[in-house]
Amino acid sequence: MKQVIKSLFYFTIAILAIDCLLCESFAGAQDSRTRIVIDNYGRAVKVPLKVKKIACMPGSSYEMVFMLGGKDQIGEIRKDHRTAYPLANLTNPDLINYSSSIANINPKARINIEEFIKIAPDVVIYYNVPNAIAKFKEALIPVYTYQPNRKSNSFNEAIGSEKNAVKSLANLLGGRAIKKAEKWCQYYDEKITLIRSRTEDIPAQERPRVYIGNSWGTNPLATWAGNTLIFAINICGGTCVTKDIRGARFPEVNLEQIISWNPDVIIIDNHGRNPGKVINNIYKDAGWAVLNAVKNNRVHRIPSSVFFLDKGSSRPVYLLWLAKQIVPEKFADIDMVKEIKIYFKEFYDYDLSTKDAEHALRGWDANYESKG
Amino acid sequence: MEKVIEILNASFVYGKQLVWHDINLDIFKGELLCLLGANGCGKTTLLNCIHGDQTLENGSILLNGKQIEKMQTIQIAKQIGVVFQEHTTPFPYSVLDVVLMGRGPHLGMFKSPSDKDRGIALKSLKSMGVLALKDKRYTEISGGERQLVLIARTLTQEPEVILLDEPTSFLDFKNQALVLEMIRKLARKGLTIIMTSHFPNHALICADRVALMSNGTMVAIGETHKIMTEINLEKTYDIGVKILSVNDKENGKTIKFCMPCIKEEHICELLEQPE
Amino acid sequence: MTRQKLIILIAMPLLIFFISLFVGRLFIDPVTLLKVLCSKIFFFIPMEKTWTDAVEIVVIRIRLPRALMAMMVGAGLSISGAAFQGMFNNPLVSPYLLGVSSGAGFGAALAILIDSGTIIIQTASFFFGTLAVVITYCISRVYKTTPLLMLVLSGVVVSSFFMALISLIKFIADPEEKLPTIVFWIMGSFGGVRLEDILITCPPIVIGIIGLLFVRWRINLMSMGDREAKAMGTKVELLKVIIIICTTMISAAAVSVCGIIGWVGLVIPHICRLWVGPDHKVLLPVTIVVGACYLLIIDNFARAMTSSEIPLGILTAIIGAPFFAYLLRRSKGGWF
Repeated sequence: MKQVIKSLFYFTIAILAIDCLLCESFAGAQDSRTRIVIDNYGRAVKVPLKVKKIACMPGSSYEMVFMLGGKDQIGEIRKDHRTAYPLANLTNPDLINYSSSIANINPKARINIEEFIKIAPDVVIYYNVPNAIAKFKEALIPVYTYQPNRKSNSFNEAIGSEKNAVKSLANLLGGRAIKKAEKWCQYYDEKITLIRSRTEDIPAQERPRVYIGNSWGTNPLATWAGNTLIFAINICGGTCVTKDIRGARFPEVNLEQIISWNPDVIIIDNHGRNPGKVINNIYKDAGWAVLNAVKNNRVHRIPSSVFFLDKGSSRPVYLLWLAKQIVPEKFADIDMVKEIKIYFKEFYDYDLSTKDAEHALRGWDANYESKG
Repeated sequence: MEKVIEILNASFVYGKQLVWHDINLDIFKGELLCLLGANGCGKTTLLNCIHGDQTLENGSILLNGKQIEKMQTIQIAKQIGVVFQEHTTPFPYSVLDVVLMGRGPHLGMFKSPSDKDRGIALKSLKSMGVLALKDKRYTEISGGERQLVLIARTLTQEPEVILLDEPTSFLDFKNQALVLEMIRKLARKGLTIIMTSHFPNHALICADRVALMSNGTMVAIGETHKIMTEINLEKTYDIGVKILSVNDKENGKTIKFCMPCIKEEHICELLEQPE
Repeated sequence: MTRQKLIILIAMPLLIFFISLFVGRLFIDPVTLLKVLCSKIFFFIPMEKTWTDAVEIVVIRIRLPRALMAMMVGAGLSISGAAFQGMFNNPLVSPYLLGVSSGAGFGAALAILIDSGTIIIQTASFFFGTLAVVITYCISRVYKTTPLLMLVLSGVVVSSFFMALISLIKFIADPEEKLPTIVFWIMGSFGGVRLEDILITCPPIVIGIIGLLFVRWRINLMSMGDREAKAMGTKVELLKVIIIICTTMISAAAVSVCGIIGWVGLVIPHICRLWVGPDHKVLLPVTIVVGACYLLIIDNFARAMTSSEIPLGILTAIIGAPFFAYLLRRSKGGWF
């Protein structure tokens, strides 16, 4: 019996010793090759010192990484990133060559972790979905979230959250991206200051009522709800008619409700492949015809960009555009063609032709051939 | 006598199993024929073949000289009414609604019954002595009443022939007698009736003729008193059978009935022994 | 049927329909609303227009078609449910038994996936809804008959198959846009109903309803089981085909315009049976009226309770399921 205990004791000692050795060798490797970054939700993520193979999964992630100059650090993109956004292909001819092997990426989808293990990315940029993140952690794949908080309580908080998202992403990319993020934040502040200076003093009763439709890409009665939208419209000089809707993020309303709101401006989401048709139908329909927005030809389609103009890094330009649509008389001097060209040059490092800029502002309809 | 139904060299196959074969049977107008046989010998199948619900492997069945297989559902239903043994409905129709269903063969697919049809249904109920039940829920009447209502339903079809599959099977002693009496009454009115039964005594009580089925063939067919012999019944059921006669002095008749002989000693006899 | 019930059956839908025109998100004072209605009904009498275009649009082009559509769909689904429950002699059967809803859902999801307009979505949905039932029917056909159990089982098979296809489409659909469209579509809504939709949906639903009314008494015979129905001179297979065609036309048309609205076709026939008894000759016309009223009331809540639409499928289930449970308890399993 004594012998058994003795041998067990030695065995344990031996195991512990091997363990310690292994640990130390790993720790040594870690110091030389990895670093810790904190993502936008406060999680510590251990990534290689220089990330070279990023998997960009959420909608705006490719565009944001691209804007921050991380085009060569991308290893995997979502399927729709490759072809669904013409300006993305225009600004980055390499886009089509990125791998996009993983199907079905959305916040509600169950991920197939083996797919990710197979592509072995340095880091996966993903939605802030606890289940998925736990799965990545189990598989020892670094996972990083950047998306701004949708539940802000004030516009400043919302903007701060957006800026943090960009900064946080820049932190992940490292190098020049950090400078670019600073530049972007500064640009955002400038634009917001400009918009604020012209809209702040508009009294509540004079603010145009704004309705945003077509959030599903097929139905102008499908709208948006939530603070981000309310604050954005407010800062741009209008009032959001859907401000009282709680619960669903993409609720459906009925035409009677819209008639009772009687919006002065209608913004049509650039979703789906036929937003132009949605707008045409609105102008043709006798029911919509009674609305101020339709009577005064103020139904506008959100412009196109590398991603949707109203999402991702291009939000400063979007807000400027939105303000110009809501209170055009206060932004008469703002030339959106010029503004969008500047943004493309400064942030995507791309010389957008005037023709393409105009096209993008019209929402980039598919039947138009780009010469740029 | 006029033949209503002729069964010629009929055989029936279920899957690959021959159920019965070479059956020849004539049914005459206005008679009450009782089909007897052990469980699973194919009595019900034969009934189903007669009203065209199942088809023969060989041979033919003629209804008033016409081949049943070539007749339309409605034509058959106008001449043959059926009371099935198993029967369920989840819906609590009124008794009158159920009896009205018997008008099916006389109404077009898109028609509903008229007052005239209602009259016929009420008459059938009356002739079965259950007119008082007409507004009751069909699901809430007793088993005996239900059997009479179903017979009333087939009468509403105004058929020439009525097929009854085990009309007494779920009934108590009294209700069995009641139903048999009603069936007898119908035969007297000129309807041709074929019924199956588990109880040889029921054939003795009311049938004009009897057909005994066993091992896939007919053991014997003929007038009840000639056919219902101990030998024939023993062949049919493969057990010992005794037939007894009793004089019913009140009605001045001789009543015959049969008893199976079981090998175990009878409990009553055991009890009587000490005396 | 008593005179009192008859009066209720005629007055109830008219009253509820009329009241529904007064319900909505836009406040319209009743006098103006009556004036608008009168001007439309008695269009030959010149009347001074004292109301805005918006009021007229809301009453005539939004509330009116929507109320009509809700009534039509409610009536159609209820009578289909009653007919199916009779045909399958099973009170737990819904009009979607043979897979029409999942087929139609798949058609719509497919059309949404390839970015089609409303008309194509509706057409695809109607087509696949019908196709699903045809497949069910073909699978269950053995030796020139279609046993009811086979129909039920093939219905389950086909439904699950198309449900899986819907999930597949959801799986590959664009998460930013198309997924919510498909999800909302399947939950069902009258939100987009226009006057023109009524014209498209009306013929199949009305023809289906009329067809079922024609064979309503025969359904009594069907509910006794195939063999008995046949023995009582019913061309069972023909009748099945007629009932299936009618219910499919109705439910495919309803689903293609309004999505999958559950519970109506299951609960309404029960309520009606409690009220007027099980005779399908009486029951079917009554389900039309009660179903129409029920869905109209529910839809009034869906469109007017909050500023955003409440998906109809949710409301019908929230109201339908507990009510059904209550009926179950009350009937103690006796089904009347």
